[in-house]
Amino acid sequence: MSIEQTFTQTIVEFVNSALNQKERTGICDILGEIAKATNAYGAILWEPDPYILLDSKDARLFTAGHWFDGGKRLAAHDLSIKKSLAGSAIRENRLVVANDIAQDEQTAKTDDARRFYTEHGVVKCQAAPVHFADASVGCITLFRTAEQQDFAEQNPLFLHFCQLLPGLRDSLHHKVSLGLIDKVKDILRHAEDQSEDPKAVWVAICKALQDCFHLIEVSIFLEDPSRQIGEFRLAHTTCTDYVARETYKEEEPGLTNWAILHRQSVLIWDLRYQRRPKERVLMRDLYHDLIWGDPIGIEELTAGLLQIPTELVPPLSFIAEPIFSGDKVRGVLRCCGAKTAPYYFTRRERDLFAVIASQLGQFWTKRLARRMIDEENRAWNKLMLKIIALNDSVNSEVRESTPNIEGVLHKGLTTTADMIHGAEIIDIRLVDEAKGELFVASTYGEDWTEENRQRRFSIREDALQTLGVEVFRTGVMKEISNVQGLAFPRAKALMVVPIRSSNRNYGVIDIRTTEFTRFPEYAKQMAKLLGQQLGLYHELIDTVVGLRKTEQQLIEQTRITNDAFANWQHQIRGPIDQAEFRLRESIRQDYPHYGDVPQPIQFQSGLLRKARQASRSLQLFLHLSKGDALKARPIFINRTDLTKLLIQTCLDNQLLTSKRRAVDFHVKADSFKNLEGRPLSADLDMLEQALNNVIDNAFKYSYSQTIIDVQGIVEPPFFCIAVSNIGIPLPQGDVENVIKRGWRAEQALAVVGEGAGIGLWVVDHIMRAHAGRLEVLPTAQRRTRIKLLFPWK
Amino acid sequence: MGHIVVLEDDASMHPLLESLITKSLGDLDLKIEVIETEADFRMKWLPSVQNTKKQRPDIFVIDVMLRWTDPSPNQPPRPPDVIEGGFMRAGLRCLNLIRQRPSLFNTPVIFLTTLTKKNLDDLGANLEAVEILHKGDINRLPGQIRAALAASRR
Repeated sequence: MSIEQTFTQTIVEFVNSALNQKERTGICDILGEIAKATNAYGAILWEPDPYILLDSKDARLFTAGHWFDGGKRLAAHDLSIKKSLAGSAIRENRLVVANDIAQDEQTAKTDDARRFYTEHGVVKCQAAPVHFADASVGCITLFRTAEQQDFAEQNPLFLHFCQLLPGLRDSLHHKVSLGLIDKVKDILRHAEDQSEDPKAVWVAICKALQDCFHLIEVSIFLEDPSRQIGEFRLAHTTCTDYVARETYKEEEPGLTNWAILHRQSVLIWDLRYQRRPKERVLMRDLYHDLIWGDPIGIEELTAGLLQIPTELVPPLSFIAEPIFSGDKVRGVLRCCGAKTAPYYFTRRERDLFAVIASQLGQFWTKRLARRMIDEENRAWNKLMLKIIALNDSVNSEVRESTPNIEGVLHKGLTTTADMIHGAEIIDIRLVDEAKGELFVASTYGEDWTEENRQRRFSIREDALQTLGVEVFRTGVMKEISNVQGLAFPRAKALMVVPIRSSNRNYGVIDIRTTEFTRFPEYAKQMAKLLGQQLGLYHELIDTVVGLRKTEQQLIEQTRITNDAFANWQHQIRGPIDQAEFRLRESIRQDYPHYGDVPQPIQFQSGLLRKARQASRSLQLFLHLSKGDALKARPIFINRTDLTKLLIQTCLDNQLLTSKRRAVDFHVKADSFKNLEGRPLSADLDMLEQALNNVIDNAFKYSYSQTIIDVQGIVEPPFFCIAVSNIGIPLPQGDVENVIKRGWRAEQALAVVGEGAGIGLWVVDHIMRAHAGRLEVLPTAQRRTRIKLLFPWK
Repeated sequence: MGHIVVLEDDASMHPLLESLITKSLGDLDLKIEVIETEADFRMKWLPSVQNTKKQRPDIFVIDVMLRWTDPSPNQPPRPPDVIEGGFMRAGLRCLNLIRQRPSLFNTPVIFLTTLTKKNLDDLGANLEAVEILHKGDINRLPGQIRAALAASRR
């Protein structure tokens, strides 16, 4: 093979090998290939300091990767561009050689450089510039030991490698970056699909970053706005020793806080240089207001962690990248300290971390939203059950003879504590209208003292208005976040909701949390609902108590009235019965034939009988109003007595009907002949009452110049007395109504004056007392028939 | 000849009233006209007085509680004021109608009732220039009629 062919094959193998690299540390393997191909002991890739211009006296070069035969560590990681061979290669833009490092003026003579030369045994060095795609210029230096031959002044293969390296490095970086982004995406997608615990997600993400960059620390801090706003808590870290505190707040000093406050990433080239004044000035210029002085003694700590001498601690590059949710910072991704080359974070790494932080931000936003929704759904479901239980409790309370609102209020308190996450100090204050004050009616939580329980709050216009009084007066809920109360020092947030219903305010519920600085939105809605519920219960119980009281008063009043009526009825019954009896006897004695009785006397007799009927009717009404059934004391009534009774009743009612209407009656005596030998069994007083009521109705509702028919009908096993008349029609639909107490059809109301409307209602009860029944037949052709059916054995 | 209009729906009172008035006031030669229902008074009697030269009465004797009408196939339905006020205010409604007519405005009115003055006040009665006679004191009716007639003729 010719030299050209060998050259080409070497290049091809080098490129293939480089393209096969998959890890970030692959850059060191690529340098190893360069070193091997150029018979070098080791190779270092230098990059310029991104902050300082190349021609500045402070310009430096930093290792971007290295390889040494035998795998020795590199102790020094930066060089001055002005005083190094690598710097010469960059400044002169050519290959430079120093076959005797100790004597060559261009080579670095710092303590770190000398230590490097000594430890590695290198005496020869060759450097060539590397032009990166972003127009920066770096360098590769090759090293040989004393045993190896000198570097030639020309090294075309090496120069070729230097030309190829930028592209290969960028290709490797893209490959590693895309690989990492995909891995993070997969982790997050899997977590979404499986609804995984976020803790496991943070662990996986941190591990992925750690594996990719070989980092000492990967930490994720997150804010949970539903719990504490402005506090960023440690979600996970790969190095607890590096984490000075687990919670960061915006207003505190530090690199991480700066990233949160200013919503920008912070990239520190090397934390070991924090004590160098120039570094501090530079960082202060780059990051306005940065207070940089992490007290943890990072070099010594790292030496202990890696179990290496302090002087061998590698560069500790640091980046804190804010995690956004929309336009709000919800966390920080923090990485520090690669254990192997490449050690430094550059703008490329910052951009990569920004992409990853964005992915984390989206995931966290979704997870927070879903958690909020789940929490809210669970809370509402639980609230439903609690409200049902509260309602059941109130139902039971209402059934008690003296319902007690206090027990209900206390259950309301415990429900509030159950429902609203973090509600720990709760009380219900009710209004004492007599004193114009709110007083503490019920409390929940250990923070309550007796002194607090005794407090009262004036609701008068001229009194000092507390939040509770304001809510009571306005009926509008209020809340305070980040509260610093005197009565309850532990409380961080407070909300006050009114207890009200309709237009009446009963009091307020105070709800305090010690867990976070504000209540989530759904918790406020729940609190309002509970306030309304308690208001309704209050109103319900007040109403029930009031109604019970009224009911008792009515019962007592009715009892007194009934007793009075009964007494009155008793007083009038006697004299009326006596008067009627005496008149009847007097008529019987003076007028053997009823037809001879003068009409005025017939009138008086009829009126007295009507008065007696009214008195008996009142007695029956009072008896039935108490809910007692009537008891019949039947006697046998024969045909003659019954017929006489019927005729007398008809006559009495006819006398009281206007002659102008000319309503007549016909008692069909023959129809009662079946009672001969088989008399009717009935209570005489009740029978008289029933017949009077039915016949009175017949006369009242009959048209002028009509005849009322009264007849007896055998309808086994009953004997029926039927009264029919032509008059105001009774529609089928009203048949059941006529026996209801106090009911009258419209046409009937037009033709009656006095009267309670209880006539047929009393008749119905009289018939039941006889084990018989009352039948009201609907009107056909304006004829109404009413039948009294008596059991007839 | 004097003319008394009696509004009374209780048929048992008619002979009593006629007997009382006839026996005690026979010297006044009074004609008694009995109207038994509010409907008859409002829909028949009042229009007949208004539209014809029918003799105006010298005095009204009115029962406060009257039924609206008698049962008949064509009985008039109760108007809204009767439905709302009920039979208990029938006499008061008739009084108002009397007072609304210039020809009857000054006619003396005697309320015949079982109600007390307080009951009448509770019913919203305007009892200005109205004599009230309890049915239990019916014997005093002739005297009140005589006095009322004498006063109206002065």
